[in-house]
This record gives sequence, structure tokens and C-alpha cells, in this order.
Amino acid sequence: MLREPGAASAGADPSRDPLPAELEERIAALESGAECGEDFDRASLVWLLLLGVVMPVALLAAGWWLA
Amino acid sequence: MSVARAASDADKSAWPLLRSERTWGPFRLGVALATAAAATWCYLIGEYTGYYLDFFRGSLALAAGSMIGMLLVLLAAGPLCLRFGIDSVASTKPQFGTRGWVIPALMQFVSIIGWNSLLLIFFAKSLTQLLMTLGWFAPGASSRFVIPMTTLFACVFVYLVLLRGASGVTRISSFLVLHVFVGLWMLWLLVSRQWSALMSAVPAMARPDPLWNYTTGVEIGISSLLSWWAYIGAMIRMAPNGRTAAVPVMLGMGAPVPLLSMIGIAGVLVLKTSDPSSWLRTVGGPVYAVIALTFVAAANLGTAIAGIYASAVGLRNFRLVEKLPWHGVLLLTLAPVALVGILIPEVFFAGFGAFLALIGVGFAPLCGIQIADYYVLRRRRVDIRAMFDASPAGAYAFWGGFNPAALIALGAGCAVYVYLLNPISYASHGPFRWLTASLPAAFASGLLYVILTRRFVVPRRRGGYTP
Repeated sequence: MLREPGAASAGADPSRDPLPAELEERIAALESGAECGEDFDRASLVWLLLLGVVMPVALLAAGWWLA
Repeated sequence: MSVARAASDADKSAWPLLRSERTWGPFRLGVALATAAAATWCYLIGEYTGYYLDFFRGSLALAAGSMIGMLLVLLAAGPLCLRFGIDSVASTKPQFGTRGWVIPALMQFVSIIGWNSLLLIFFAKSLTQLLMTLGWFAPGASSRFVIPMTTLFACVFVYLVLLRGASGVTRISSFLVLHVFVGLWMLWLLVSRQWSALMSAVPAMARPDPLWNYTTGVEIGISSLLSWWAYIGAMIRMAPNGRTAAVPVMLGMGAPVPLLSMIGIAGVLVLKTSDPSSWLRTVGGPVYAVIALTFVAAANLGTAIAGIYASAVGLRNFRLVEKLPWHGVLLLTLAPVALVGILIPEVFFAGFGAFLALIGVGFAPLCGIQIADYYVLRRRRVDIRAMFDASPAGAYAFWGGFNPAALIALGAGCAVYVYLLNPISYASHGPFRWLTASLPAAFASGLLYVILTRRFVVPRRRGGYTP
């Protein structure tokens, strides 16, 4: 069950306005790391480099010199 | 409220999604993104490119610009959306502050409402054309009544689908993604039957400077894809990590636009119109026209569903909207679209060129600021609690909830863009022909944001930066 409204988690600062209970629970879960997603890893950065930089440069060169 | 009930409604709020709720894999994400990206705006984007460039150069310039624009958007909003399961608007809180995010939220709202008004008007036009082709509506009859009514019908359909939240998006996209292939078939139809005319066609508004024309094609691609900033967060937050999202975003969302825009380029070059519903009957006969018009209509519905969903989630960041029931948020989001479609469809349709150009003015600097903040200033360290802490003592409260550095950098980026390329007249200055307008605007705003933050924000211990 979710906590009652205004209930504080271990990560909450009691001097601040309390967050809604469900939001508080979600943030606590993210802060613990267990429910957190992951940023781009090395492999995905390589894909981004290929598709977002190398490929456009190649397309531009092809369009300018070959077309 | 039980955890199960809360989880089932989580995709209808702007609160962070937990990893266990983020169940979209690469294929599901790619299909949803492709359905959202591929719509008849592609034909209009292609049309504007075809004014300046021939088929090959236009296609390649647009493809290059689109992939660059997609990369900018993904690097800007992607990391925070993927890590914390938040939408694009929420991802701006570390830069703009716990109240300043309202500015990107308004940009998102205006962009999505604008695009979706256009799409639903296009849907209405396609449906009217379809009814005429089928003989159910007299050719030449006034469309003044039909277009508003079909727009209203589309809004009701979008509303009913989105009552299910993100699952409505994914259910409808698994079917509507087929229209991407119909679009490619239309391209083949046009290219194969009009090849010689296509090769000899001269762009109507090409300028004497070939580099200017080429750069303009690239700029159209970049600025068009930058508008995906408004959509991307609500979609990729359903994926658990960057590895799942990177390729589907670049290929699913970035690639369909230039591919389908080739239809618009070819159409305007050969037949002087980019709208397939106008030329398909001529090129392929009535059967082709019916098939294509059906799927053109479906394409716009798929995109509108994704857009309205993203906009509704973005509006959830407002405290007042946060407490509304989901169907109320949907009505609030759809109302402006319906009003535009019913009251001023033709006026809005005619002004699309200026609207398209204006998109890049705001989103390019926004992306520059987000990229600079995340990778240069914060070095990937972001406090999720501070993003939802609206108290004056919160780390992202800055000054009264606003970060002047972000506002100044955004304004400066817009000024750089407008100086380089007037979005209305397409008059250009300085290094536009070498650099485009979006890229310098993004770079200038990011650089200025870094300077202002290090010089004024960090020394005053605002913004949660590590000195």
C-alpha cells in the first residue's frame, strides 16, 4: 500500500512542504536506485554518434558532390 | 489507493514512472514512435524542401538535417526522461527552475496544438476527398461543413483512444504503423511513373546560391525534427533505459520523416502539389486513391493520438491540472485543436509555413541549454526530489522558481536564430549558408547558459550545482 498523504520517507526533508504520498513513494524508490532507469551507455552512445553525426555528414557529402 | 491501482494510472500523470512500470521494449517503442512521426506533415516538410532543391539533393539534405535534429532532441530531453521516467516538460526543471518550466511547457503546448490542428485538418481534407472518390459526397460541393465535422469526429476518436493512457497509444500504433509502408508505396508509385519528369524538374524558388539552397534543406530537416522535443519525453519514459531507446528513437522517429517527405519533394517538383490526396487519383486511378487516402487519414490520427497524449502529460505538470481527472485533461488538451479545426481551418492551413519555421526558433536554444546543463555543468548528476520540490528552499528554486540564466540564454538563442534566418521571410544573414540557423542558436544558447551559470548562479549557491 502507498503511504498516507504527507507521510515522509527517509529521503524527505521535514522542513519542506510534504509531497503527495504516491509521488513521495515514487521519488524514494528512484533515489534508492532500484526503480531508476539508466542513461545512455557506451554502446548506445556509439549508435547515436553513427546515426546522428556520421550518417548525416555522409549524406551531406553525397548530396553535395554526387547528386 | 493500492499500488496496483496507482501503477495502472501512472502513465496518465507527470509523476516519475518506476522502472517496473516502464515496459516498452525497442520494437514497441520504435513502432509507437514511427506511428507518431509519420504523418502528412511529412508531405508539407517535403514541399518546402522541394521549393529549393531537386529530388536527390532535397532528400539527402532533409535526411541529414532530420537525423541531426533528432540527435539534439534526444541528447537534450532523453537522459532525464529515461533515468527518471518523466516527460519533456519535467526534464526542464533543473535548467528553468521549479516555476520557470512553465515556459517550455507553453512551448510544448503551442507546438503540439499547432501540429495536431494541422494534422486533423489534413485528416478532414483527406476524408472529404475520400468520400468524393467513393461517390458519397458530391465533387465540388462545399467543404465548409464537412471539414469541421470530420475534425470534430477525429477529436472524439482521439479522446476515446486516450482514455486508456499510454496503452491506447501503443494499441493503436501497432495497427496504424502500416501506413508507413503505404507511404513508401506511394513514393514508389510517383517516382516510377514520373521518373523523367522528376529528374528534369526545377525547384520553383531555388536561389542562385546552391549552398544556400542546400543549407535551407538541412535547416528544414533540423527545425522540423526539433519539434519532437515536445513529444519525445512522454514516449521514451515508457522505456527502461538508454540502450532500449537510442536506436528506436533515431530510426523510428528520425528516419520516417525524411523518407516520407520524399513524397512531398517529388510531388511538388513534378505535380506542383505535395498532398497525395490531390494527385493519387491522377497517377494511380480511383482504387489507389481510396487505399492511399484511407491510410493518409489513419496516419494523421496516429500522430494526433501520440501528440495529444504527450501534451496532456505535459499539462499534468501544472498544479491545477494535476488534480483533474484524466478525461478532463484530455478535453482541456483537445479543445483548442477542435476549435482551430472547426473555426479557422483554412486560415491555419495557409499559415503553416511560418508556423513550421517558428518551431526551430524556440526548440533549438532549449535543446542547447539542456545539453549544456546536463553534460557540462551537472555532469549527469541530477536531483529527482528537487525537481518536484516547489518550496523556495528547493535546489532548483533558483530565484522565485525562475533561473534568469536559462531565460537569458533562451532569449539570446532565439535572437541568434532570427538573425541568421528570418523564419517568416527566409531572409538570411551571416554564416547561415555554412552553419544553418538551428545549430548556431543551440550552440550560442548553451554556451551563454554555461557562462552565466558559472559566473552568476554557482557563486550564489543556486540551482544545486556542485562548485
